[in-house]
Amino acid sequence: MYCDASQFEFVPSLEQHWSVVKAELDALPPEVFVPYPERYLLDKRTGWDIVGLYFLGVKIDLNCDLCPQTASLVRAIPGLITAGFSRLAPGAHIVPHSGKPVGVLRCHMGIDVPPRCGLRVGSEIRRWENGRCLVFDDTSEHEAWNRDERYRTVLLLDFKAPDWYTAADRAA
Amino acid sequence: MEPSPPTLPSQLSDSVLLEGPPPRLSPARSTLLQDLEQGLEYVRFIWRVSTRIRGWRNRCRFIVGLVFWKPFLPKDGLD
Repeated sequence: MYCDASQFEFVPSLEQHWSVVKAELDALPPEVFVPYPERYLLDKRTGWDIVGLYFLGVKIDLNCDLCPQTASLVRAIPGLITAGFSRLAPGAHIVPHSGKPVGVLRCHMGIDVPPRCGLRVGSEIRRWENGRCLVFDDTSEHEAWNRDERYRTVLLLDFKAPDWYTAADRAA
Repeated sequence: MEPSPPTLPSQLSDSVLLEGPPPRLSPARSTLLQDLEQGLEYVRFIWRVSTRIRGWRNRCRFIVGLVFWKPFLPKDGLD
C-alpha cells in the first residue's frame, strides 16, 4: 500500500535537495556500488546494486564521507533505520516480495529515473519521478522493474512508522 | 474474493510510458548451486560493506543486524 508522501515532514526537505543528492550520486566512483546480496529477488539474478549510507542505524562511514550532504539530510529523518542509493540496471526486475519488519515504512526518492520503470505496491503501479518521493509499506507485496536502456537510481530509506501512522493503521 | 488487477494512478492512466512488470523469465524455485551462490553473495556483501565502516564495534553491529534484522532496529537517535 502506498502512503501519501506529503504526510511525512521530512519529505519536502528531501525533495528540495534533490539536485544536491544527484550531484553527489554522479560523483561516486563506480566501485562503491555493491551488488545487493538477495539475488533470488531478481529475475535474472543480477542487476541491483546499492551504496549504503546507514544500515540498521550503523553508519557506513566511507560512503557517508563521499556523500556528506546526502548523509546529513538522511540523518535528520526521524526514526531512520537504513538509507542508501539503490540502482537497478537496464532490464532488471525485482520479483514480487514482501518485507518483514512491521512498523517500518520505505521511501524512494527518484534521483536518476528513466521513463520505462515502475513500482507496483499491492495493486497499484506508480513510476518514480526525479526529486519526488514515494512512500509505501514494505510489508505489502511489491515489485520493481527497469525496462529502459539506462540505469534507474533512487535514494532508498527505511524509517520507523510514526505513531500517528501506526495508530491510523491499527484503526483501519 | 479474486484479487483486483494492478491499477495506474489517475494522473498517469493515459500515459503510454507507464508499463507493467515484464513477464518473469526464471523459475521461482532456485537450484542448489544458486542457493550456494546466494550464500557466497552474502559473505561478499558483508565483507565489502564492513570494510567501509570504521571501528570493529560498528562492523559487528552491522553484521549482527544483517543476520538478525528486526531485533536490532536502532533506537530513534543515530550514532
